[in-house]
Amino acid sequence: MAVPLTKLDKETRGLKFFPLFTVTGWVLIGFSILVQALVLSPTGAAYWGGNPKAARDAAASGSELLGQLAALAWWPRLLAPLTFLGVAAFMVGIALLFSAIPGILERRTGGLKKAIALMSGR
Amino acid sequence: MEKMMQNMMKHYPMMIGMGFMLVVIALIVGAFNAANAAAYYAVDKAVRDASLELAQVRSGIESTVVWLPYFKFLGVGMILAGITMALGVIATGLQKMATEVLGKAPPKPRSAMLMRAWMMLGMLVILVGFIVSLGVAGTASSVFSNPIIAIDAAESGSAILAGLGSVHAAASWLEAFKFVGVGFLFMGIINGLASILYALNLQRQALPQVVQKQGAARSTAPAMAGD
Repeated sequence: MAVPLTKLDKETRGLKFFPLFTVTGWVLIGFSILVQALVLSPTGAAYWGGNPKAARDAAASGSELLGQLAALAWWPRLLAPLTFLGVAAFMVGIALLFSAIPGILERRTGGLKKAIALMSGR
Repeated sequence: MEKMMQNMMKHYPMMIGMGFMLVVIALIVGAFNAANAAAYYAVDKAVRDASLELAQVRSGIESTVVWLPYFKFLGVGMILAGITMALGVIATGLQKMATEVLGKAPPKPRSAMLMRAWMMLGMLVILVGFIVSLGVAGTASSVFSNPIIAIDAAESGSAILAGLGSVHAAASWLEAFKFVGVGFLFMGIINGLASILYALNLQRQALPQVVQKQGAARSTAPAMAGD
């Protein structure tokens, strides 16, 4: 007995919206990783590894060194909540999937009742 | 292979327990590190910056700050993997039930295979992140085992400054391992849930056919008995 089921039944709102939250999660985490790898990491290496403390401390306003320091101070404070928003988006997606289960079980109960009535000849 | 995977999935309580233990160990190590940091910063700056002995304390503090978050994430990752495995056990149970009722194995959703792949990939990424963090912690330890005055006096191109630069650079890109790993583990959970929903929907849709089959069997049975 083959039951034609090629994909999940998208009968509940949760099942329709969970991919959106999952994709949002990947986009936010991906953006954060890109900035960390392509902006923060080279800036950190250049600022801390390329300049002695005397040069770092003597940097004047508007200098490249202070610009690097500003980037090193600004991005991590922005990226941390953004990454956690990404993690939260994943969790919301999971919660939406969970919320679909009661609806499916309810419809299954209706089907079971009908089946039992048919099988017992009522 | 399939049987082995299913048997492995049944060990999810052990995975969750081990993950929780790692997080508890991380808490204990973190508490010790906090106490060390408090003791270190209680000494006046002039002594702190010049002392080689205190530099060893600082080296321990700085290296722990590097590897401990990845150790915590390893624990959290194991808990998430355990949850995925528990979902896998439920999905397998539903699949077995459907096989018994329908008389043959129902179609298996792709999400059931993907669930395990995402879970293992997630654990692998987190584990690699932890191993790499141990290496970076070693560099941090060697840099900060020098007194602060030596670190501050380091010239461009010196080993100390190169080490300091690599520790700060690694702190940024190492983050990727944590969150990509957790993202993969979440994908595993999502696919596990999708497999359960698939199995529940399949059972609901297969129910009328099972009833029809039962009814047909029952109606032919008295006729055959009459012959």
